Amino acid sequence: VSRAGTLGIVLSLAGAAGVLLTHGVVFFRRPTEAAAGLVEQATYLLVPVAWITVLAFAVAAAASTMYLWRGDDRADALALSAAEGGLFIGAGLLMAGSLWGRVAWGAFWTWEPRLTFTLLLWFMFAGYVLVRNSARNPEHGKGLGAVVAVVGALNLPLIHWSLHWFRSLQRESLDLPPEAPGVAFEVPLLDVISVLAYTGLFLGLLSLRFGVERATRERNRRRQRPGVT
Amino acid sequence: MRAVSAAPTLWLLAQSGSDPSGGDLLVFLAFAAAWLGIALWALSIGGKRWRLAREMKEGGPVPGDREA
Repeated sequence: VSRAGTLGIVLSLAGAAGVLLTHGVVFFRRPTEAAAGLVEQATYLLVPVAWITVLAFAVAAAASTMYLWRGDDRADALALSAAEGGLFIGAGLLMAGSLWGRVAWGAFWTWEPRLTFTLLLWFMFAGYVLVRNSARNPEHGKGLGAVVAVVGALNLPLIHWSLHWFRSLQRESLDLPPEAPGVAFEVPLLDVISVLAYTGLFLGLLSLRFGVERATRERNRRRQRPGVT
Repeated sequence: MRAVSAAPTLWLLAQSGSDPSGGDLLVFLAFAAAWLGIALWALSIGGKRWRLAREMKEGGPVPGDREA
């Protein structure tokens, strides 16, 4: 646990500090736009959280592919850790996006392509966890779960390209008029910092979860060996 | 306790100007929901670490524990 744990704690704390810094700057320094209000400020939350949700599922799918290819138990532990994180963060994202959508678009939910594909992705990975846990043979469950994760990841490009392929509310939301010159200069840097901060927080927590998963499996293996405590 | 939970809401409403709307409250709840997802994952990891550490210390299985 120690090495992954130390890295995880450092990354998590750095990420959390970056998140606080980003939102602090957004709340205190950036002028709230009269028309958009807090809705505009929430993009500094929704964009990075959406990014880490997709990243979590991408990591789970890549690790699952590695597991199917090599049968490496570490890859399976990483896939499970990432999928679990994606489920938690994705649930928060779907709720947050829904609340934000009520203010921005006037509805808690619309069957808009990107939202629909994101919901579908969340259900695919919920299925991943269910398949793993419901299999009688744990090794069989790992393989089945990995297949579900790889198939679920086919949804990832759809989420990204849906803005270009389909007419959507999100695309219309992006067609905003340019901001005031002084503010526009600050936006890209804050965007980058917020994405980096949330990514650091995610990777830190993923590292901690991976360390715990590996330690748990190691303990279970030692227990199954006769004469080893 | 009520004052503690109301404080951030009031602060956010104050940030949005003199005409706080229900929309601002919904955006605040959106922040809370997104952070809740991350916080619950962190708590879940902390719980698993704590349970593993306790089990290793005691040297026996914890009822209800299973490999994830």
